[in-house]
Amino acid sequence: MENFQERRNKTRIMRKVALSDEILRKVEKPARYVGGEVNIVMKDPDQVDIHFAFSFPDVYEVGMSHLGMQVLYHEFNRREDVYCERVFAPWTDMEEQMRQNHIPLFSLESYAPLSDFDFVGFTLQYEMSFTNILNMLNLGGIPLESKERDEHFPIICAGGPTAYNPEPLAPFIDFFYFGEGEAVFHQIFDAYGLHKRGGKSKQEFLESIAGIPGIYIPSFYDVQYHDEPAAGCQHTGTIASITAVNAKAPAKIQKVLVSSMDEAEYPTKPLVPYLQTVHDRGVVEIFRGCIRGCRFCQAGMVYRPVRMRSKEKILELADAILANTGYDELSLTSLSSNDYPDLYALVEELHRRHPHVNVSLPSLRVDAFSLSLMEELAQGKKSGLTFAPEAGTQRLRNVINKGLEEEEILNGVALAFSGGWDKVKLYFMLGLPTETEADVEGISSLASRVLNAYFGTPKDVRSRDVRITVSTSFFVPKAFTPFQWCRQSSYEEYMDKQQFLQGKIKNRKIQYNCHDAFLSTLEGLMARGDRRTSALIRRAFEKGCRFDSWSDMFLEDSWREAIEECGIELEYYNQRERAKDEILPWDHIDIGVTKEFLYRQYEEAQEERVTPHCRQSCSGCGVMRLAETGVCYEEKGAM
Amino acid sequence: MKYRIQFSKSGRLKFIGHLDLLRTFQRVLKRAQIPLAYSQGFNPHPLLSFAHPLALGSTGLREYMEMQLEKEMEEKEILARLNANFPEHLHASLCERIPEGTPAAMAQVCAARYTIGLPQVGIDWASRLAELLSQDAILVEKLGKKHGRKQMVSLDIKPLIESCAISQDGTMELLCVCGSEQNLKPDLLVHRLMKEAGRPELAYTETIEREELYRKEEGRLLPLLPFAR
Repeated sequence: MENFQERRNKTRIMRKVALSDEILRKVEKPARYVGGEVNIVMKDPDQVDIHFAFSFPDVYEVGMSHLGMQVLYHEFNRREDVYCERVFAPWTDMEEQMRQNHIPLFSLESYAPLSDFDFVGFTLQYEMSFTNILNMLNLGGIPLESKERDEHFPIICAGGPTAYNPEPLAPFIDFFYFGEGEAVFHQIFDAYGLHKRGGKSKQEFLESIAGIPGIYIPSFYDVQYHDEPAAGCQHTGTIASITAVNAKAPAKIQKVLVSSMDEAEYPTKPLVPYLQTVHDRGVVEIFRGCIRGCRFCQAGMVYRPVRMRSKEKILELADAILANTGYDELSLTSLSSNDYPDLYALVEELHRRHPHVNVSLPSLRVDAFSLSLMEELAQGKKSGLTFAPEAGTQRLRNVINKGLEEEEILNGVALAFSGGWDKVKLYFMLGLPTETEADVEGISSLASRVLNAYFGTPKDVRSRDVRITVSTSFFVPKAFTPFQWCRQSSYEEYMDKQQFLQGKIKNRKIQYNCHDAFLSTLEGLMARGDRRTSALIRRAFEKGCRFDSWSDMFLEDSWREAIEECGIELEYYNQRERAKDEILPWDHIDIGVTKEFLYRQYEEAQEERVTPHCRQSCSGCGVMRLAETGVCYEEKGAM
Repeated sequence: MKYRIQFSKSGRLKFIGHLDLLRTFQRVLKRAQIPLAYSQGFNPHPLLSFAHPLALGSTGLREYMEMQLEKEMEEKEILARLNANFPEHLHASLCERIPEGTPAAMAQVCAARYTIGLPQVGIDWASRLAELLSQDAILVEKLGKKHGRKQMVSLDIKPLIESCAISQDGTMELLCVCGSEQNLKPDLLVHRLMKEAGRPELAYTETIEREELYRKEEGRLLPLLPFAR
């Protein structure tokens, strides 16, 4: 068999998949599969050494809305020796055509089959995309597990927020990267280039990158389990040890972060899709991370510390992006818009420079300031207002550290109603730790008080009718949050809570929407799963599960069968509180925030105590040891 | 100031649908800094329209678009800026400022000419076509509305065909009714012909190109551009 180097040197004539017009004319939205968008990067594949397939495990319109893909696509392609191409999950009609006609999964730039790439990199944005990853590998003719892949196959890697608990995917992925990919990958490409010329094996290559910060090679670690089942479980024992078994592998893998948002590369020529995507607009990330520290929120922990992009830099990026794309909408993204110190001045200046461009701000807290801002942004149009109290009572909001007082919400809506707004959406979670019946009932009473605020608004200023929507999702404990030790509600408990709340909401001006309870159960299983859960993902894929986050595609029965057949105990993974000293599946990963801090937060939650946010005072989460940057090094008490 | 543009849409852009093309044009105009005008009112929309939507999967050799600009621009300048900002497979070939009072392209268009490539699989398409055209009516099934509900309806497409012939090299030339009132989608005819030949599975192996769109002036068919003859 030819070795790694031979393969790499010989096969650089990338093949091209022949995709006939006939097939494209038979599928829905063929533009998903043809590429050719404005700002696409075209290179001669034969003139490039390293071929990277950036793979998004969902359909084109979802993947193309993802900022991280745009960042890495342009960052990787700045290198002359790298060609980064895009691959998305084909929709089921296309998959059928591909399987019938023996067409392998291919990239949109050069139509190269997935198996011709040096690297296939998946971005993990949500747990319920895992079966799509296996399906994409399979459609690319690539064996699913690392140990089944010899030197002929690409190196499969993965990153993104959901990668922070990589264990359920451990057997399928050759290496993971933790943190902000733009910082790590150049080292990997350099190492790969050296190895390619040096004629080394895949194993040797992996060993050579094992020491790069943020890199995790699951096959270099061994996990042992206790034979004795955990309390309340039939046969699943807790983790006894996680050990590095390769001399090159560090005991702990530390996440990597971008230290300066102003110096970090940012794509000013983003791809402009032809198809209408989920977020079809220009995007500037105004800061990374969140000062708030909500205890259920994984993003709030893993993206620490908060790092700002300067107003000048944002304006410069916005000018360039709008000129290069022709977008008429620009979104300023962050986890919490109001926490940008100079938001008003920023928006005002954007408005002055681009009067016809609609500026949108996600996660905006509603108060007098933001209402006038919104009114200006929307140029008189009044879309719906969204509040995320997350919990129905102040007690429970204190437990989750959601710094939103009921008074703020009621003042906000009262202002909004007198300004003529007439649609209010309220988002809550059911099944939060310590939740009681009173907390669930609190959701309906809060909604009623919002409705009363409308009736309390003088008739001559309020709109003629009002619509209040209450949406609940189910709380799913995530790794690297203070609630990682929590018991998750069972499916039955979820359903009971939902029915109880449904019964409490009687006013027909209040509409109630809820999330699928079984999907949340599965999400919880993946979010805190270990290597033993990987068999379940494989089994579900084999049973035909894919696009699980699309409700019309979700095969609940197949998943239930797969759980049964793989002997997965939900009592172990979901419905069990973990002990303080238990080894968690992700304990060998260091995100900066320490386990001690998270546990302290868990205790504070049980005592219903609120923790001040990062600008008020430092709570010692531990992230400041990673880099001298961001909010940790700002003066306190500024906001 | 209203301008009419003649452009071609080729290659893989045949898989970009009508609404996506509309959005693409809006973005091209922005990038090209061509000052597109917007309608007045509560929900301003860009004053930009196409003569007739091109079916997904077909290419167009001479397609037409009309737009209203906020201020006057040289026609040559418009063409140059469009072509500098178009993605691959879009190309503008003519631009004319149109006289006040001219009906919109959308209202003027009444016929279209198509070139259709049929699969060469040993079928004598010419005689099959002759047989089909000799029938009193050519009934096809299409998804349409009946009593306000979407369902398959039967339609006689014979009156919509002005002329149809197969040339020496096997391509089909079709001149047919085109417009917002009455319109023939050529694949209906082609798929009917394949069915007639006993090969319905060949559907979608044909290639369709719209060559030209016509308006009627004093009983004569004239292309939507140029105006001045």
